[in-house]
Amino acid sequence: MKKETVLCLKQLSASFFSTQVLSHVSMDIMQAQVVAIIGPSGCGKSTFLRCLNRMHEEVQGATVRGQVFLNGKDIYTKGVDPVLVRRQVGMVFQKPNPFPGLSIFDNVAVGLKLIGVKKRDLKARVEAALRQAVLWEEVQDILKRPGTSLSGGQQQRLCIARALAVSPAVILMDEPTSALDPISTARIENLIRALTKQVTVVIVTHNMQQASRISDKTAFLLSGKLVEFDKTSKIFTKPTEAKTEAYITGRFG
Amino acid sequence: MSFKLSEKLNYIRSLILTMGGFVEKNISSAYEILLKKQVDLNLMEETLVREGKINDLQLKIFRLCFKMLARQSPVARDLRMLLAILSANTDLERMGDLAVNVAKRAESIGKEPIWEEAIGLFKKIFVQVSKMVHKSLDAFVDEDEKLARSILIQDDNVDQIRDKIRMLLDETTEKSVPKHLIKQCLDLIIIASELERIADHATNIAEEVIFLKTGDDVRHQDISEIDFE
Repeated sequence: MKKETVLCLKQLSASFFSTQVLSHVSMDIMQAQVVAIIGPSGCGKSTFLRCLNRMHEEVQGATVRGQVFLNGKDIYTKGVDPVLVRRQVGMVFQKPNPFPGLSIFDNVAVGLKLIGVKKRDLKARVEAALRQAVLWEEVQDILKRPGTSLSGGQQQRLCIARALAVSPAVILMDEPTSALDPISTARIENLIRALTKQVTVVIVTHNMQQASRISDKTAFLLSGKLVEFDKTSKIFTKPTEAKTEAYITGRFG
Repeated sequence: MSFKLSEKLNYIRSLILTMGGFVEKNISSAYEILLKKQVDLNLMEETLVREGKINDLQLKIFRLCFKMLARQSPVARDLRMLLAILSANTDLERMGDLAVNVAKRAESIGKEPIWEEAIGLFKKIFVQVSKMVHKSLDAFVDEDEKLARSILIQDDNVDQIRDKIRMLLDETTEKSVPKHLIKQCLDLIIIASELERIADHATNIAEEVIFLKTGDDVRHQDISEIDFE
């Protein structure tokens, strides 16, 4: 099956006030792939991610230049509602953040209610999302308990279920396993691989082994610039750029 | 971590060179025994002691690489280096075995003079093989891709000398010659084949150097397909 471009970035730049944190990044991200973004702290990885669903502009003094095409439409065109963009491009953060005070069920249902899913369909959609996030078996009998009562790994899968529930085209993940133990990390990694049947995942990670394990393509960012973007198997065996080689072998960064 | 990794890789590389040094000495011993007729027990014993050291080094290098793979998860150049070291480790151990085989077979020929027409060819093949082994170790330590590529061409020369030896000895055995000389001819054919195998392993090391430097796998490629620039 020929994969199509889901996200097409053209000369994407981002700044905070006068400080440029991302410079002229261009790349195509294909559907049903996991793309890992790697680079040293402060290289612009998280900013890059937040530009893909218009979260960056939520910060005071933040500006974006360039274009980001989501399924062919520029999300930065005048008149595009950022809320609608975020429905198509979900996000999972470093620290699991289930809505406090909401039950496990409601944590997933809340997004569905916002997009107008009828009450009679809610249960099935919540179950489907929890199954996709490989959490259903563990929570099916405790759906009314608070989402925050779950373990860290389960909370993170709940957040993934919440993002999946509204059927996005892309899910952005900002170091989603950095706060988790190895077993929970392995579960999330397996889940990410399984998700590629439905969505494209763009993941920021500091863990080189994680990037090499789970991603199809890897982008190396340095000082806000895209140094190299290629198949993960190539990046981790025979990168083209000396800077990439030096970074992934731990010689700087 | 990376500093430690490169330090350890350098250490393992130095062990590979030590191993290579023992292999070179054993090839030289085999030469002394076969062509200079230095059939003394000490020389054979020293050869066998070095063979034991080669085997010990093979295990040590394998264990160190295994630990590094498990604990450091090397990538890119470090990964290629580790894989090259592991392959060279196996090649050198096999070269060590073959050198001992040659020495033992040469010893079994004893003081008996070597078939005269064959002496020149054996000198040639020994010199050529020794050069290839030495150069492959130099290429490995200096990560010299150009030198490594030059070794690939030399392998054909060794094959040609081996074929000449075989032909000469085949012709000889067809004539009516004393029985003891037929045994010597067979021993010499096997020695030539074992020396040629040593050259093949030196070629493997050269291929590993090319892989280490470029990431290109040139094994099982026709010489004409390999870029020598």
